[in-house]
Amino acid sequence: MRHIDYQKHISLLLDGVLEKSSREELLSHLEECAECMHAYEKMVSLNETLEKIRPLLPDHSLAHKIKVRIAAEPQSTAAVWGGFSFLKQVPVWALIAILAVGIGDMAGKTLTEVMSAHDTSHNLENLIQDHGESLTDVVINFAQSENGQ
Amino acid sequence: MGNFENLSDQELIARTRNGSVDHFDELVNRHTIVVYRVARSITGAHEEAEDVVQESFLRAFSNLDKFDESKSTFRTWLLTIARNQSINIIGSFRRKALKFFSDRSDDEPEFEFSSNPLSQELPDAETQLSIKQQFQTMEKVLKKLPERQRTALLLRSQEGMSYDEISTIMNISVSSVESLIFRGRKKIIELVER
Repeated sequence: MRHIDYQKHISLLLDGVLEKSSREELLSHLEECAECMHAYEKMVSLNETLEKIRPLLPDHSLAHKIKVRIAAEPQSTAAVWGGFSFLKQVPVWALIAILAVGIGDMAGKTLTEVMSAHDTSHNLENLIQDHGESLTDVVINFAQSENGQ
Repeated sequence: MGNFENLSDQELIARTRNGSVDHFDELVNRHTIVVYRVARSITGAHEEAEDVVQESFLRAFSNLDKFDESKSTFRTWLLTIARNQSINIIGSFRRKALKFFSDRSDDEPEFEFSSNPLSQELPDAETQLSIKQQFQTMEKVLKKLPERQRTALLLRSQEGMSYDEISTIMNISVSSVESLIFRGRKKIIELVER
């Protein structure tokens, strides 16, 4: 191995992640190599210095500022979903299938038939007379009458 | 606000997901300092680091549903957000423009003595001065390191993070972390010896 490889192992040794076999090889090498021994001593000293210094601390008010901003935020998506978490358990394909069945159920039915499941159906019958037209026909007729056609 | 100190980060996250903002506040109490340290190490400026901390927590709060406990700890996830925010800030045009007109942030001290060695029983004023100079030199040298080397080295030496955690935060492989830390150490030694 080259000196640079041994020195890389010194770095790993200091961080406690050097494998046992490599560690033994490195320690043997250090006993006979002045250059790598010098690098070892320098790295140990550097590590001690880096551990002694600490970045300056933030202002005491920082945590409070964050909390105020978070309180002003709209609820996170996670929190909003919290009340409907059961929906997350339903696969997307199942939701699509339910929707498709719902739409399919209306196919070919007249407007009154579609609405007849509701209590308001008898009121609707008074407002819109059932001529056996589909929902699409009613919408097209309405649009044509609005355009004066 | 309740006393949530006994709850784990995971429990706090679960309660937050169920709509309790108070539980997220406890996460803020726990992690503000470490996020600030990382942001400060990268940006090198107090105000920018505080902005990064605020934005990081807000993003974490808004995206809590995207956090996957099986992939990383909350701290690692939060620090990943903070690092990305810090990099965005140091690369921004606004930052460069401000630095052009005022170089104040480069003169600010970034570090302090962890146990205030100057107040301890030291033999004489000469030794105190020597220690102070040693720390000032280290501070200057750290600023000269490329951002990736400095971040990897400080996450390891000062925050005691594992290579795995650092690789997640920096989105690089563990072998790249090994290499960055080694090159960072080597570069510092070269700069100090010059």
